[in-house]
Amino acid sequence: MALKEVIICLNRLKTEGIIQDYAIGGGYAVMFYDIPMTTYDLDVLVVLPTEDDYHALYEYFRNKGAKIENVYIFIEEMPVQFFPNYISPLFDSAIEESNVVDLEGVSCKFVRVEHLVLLLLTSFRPKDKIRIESLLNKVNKGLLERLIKRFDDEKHTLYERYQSLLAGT
Amino acid sequence: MKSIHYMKDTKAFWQERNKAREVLDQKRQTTSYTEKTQIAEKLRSDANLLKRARILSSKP
Repeated sequence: MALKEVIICLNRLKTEGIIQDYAIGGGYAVMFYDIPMTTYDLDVLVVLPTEDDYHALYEYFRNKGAKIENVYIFIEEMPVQFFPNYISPLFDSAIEESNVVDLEGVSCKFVRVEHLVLLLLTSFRPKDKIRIESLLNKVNKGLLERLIKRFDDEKHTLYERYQSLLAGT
Repeated sequence: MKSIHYMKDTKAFWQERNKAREVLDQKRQTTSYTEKTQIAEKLRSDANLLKRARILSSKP
C-alpha cells in the first residue's frame, strides 16, 4: 500500500510500453513540495497519445485483476487517477518539464512546482486555493506567469484567479 | 505564442474527474474508524518518504 510500491509499478508500466512517460501531480506533489496534507488518491499525468492507448491502460490492469472503481485504478490499494496528455497541451508541458526525483533509490517524476500551481489554478476548488497560497513562495513567479499566459483562455481566467490569490496574500 | 484554450477544451473531462473524486471523498468520510486510522498512518508514512526524496534533475 506504500507510495514507493506504486511508483515501482508506474516505472514498470513505462518499461513495458503501456505508457510512454508520466509525472506525479495533485496532492502528493503538494506534499512533495510543501506540506503534509490529506489526500486519498494519486494523480498521475501520463503520455498516452490516443484514447485507444488510454483504454489499453485500463485493460492492462483489468487483465491483472486490479480493482477499478469509476475512473480510479487501485494499485497496491491506492486509488490512482491517470490524466492522459492528449486531453491537454498543459499535461504535455507538465510531463515534459517535470523534475526527476530520487525516492529512496527509486527514480520517479514530479511535475515542477510552477506546473503544479497552474494545474491547481485550473481546478481551483477551495482546498486548491489553500494549496496554491502555500506553494506561491516556492515558485519562480516569472516562469509561472509565462505559463499562465501560455495556457490561459481568452477571458484570462487563470490570470484573474492568480491575481485574486496574490491580492489575498 | 498561440493561446491554448485549456479551460474550455477540458471542462467535461474535469467535471467527470471531480465527480469521481467527490464520490471517493464521501466514501472515505463514512468509512470505519479503524480504516480512517490506517489511512492516516499511510499518509504519515508517505509524507515521511517524500521528505527524504530529492530532486535529481530539473529542466532549466
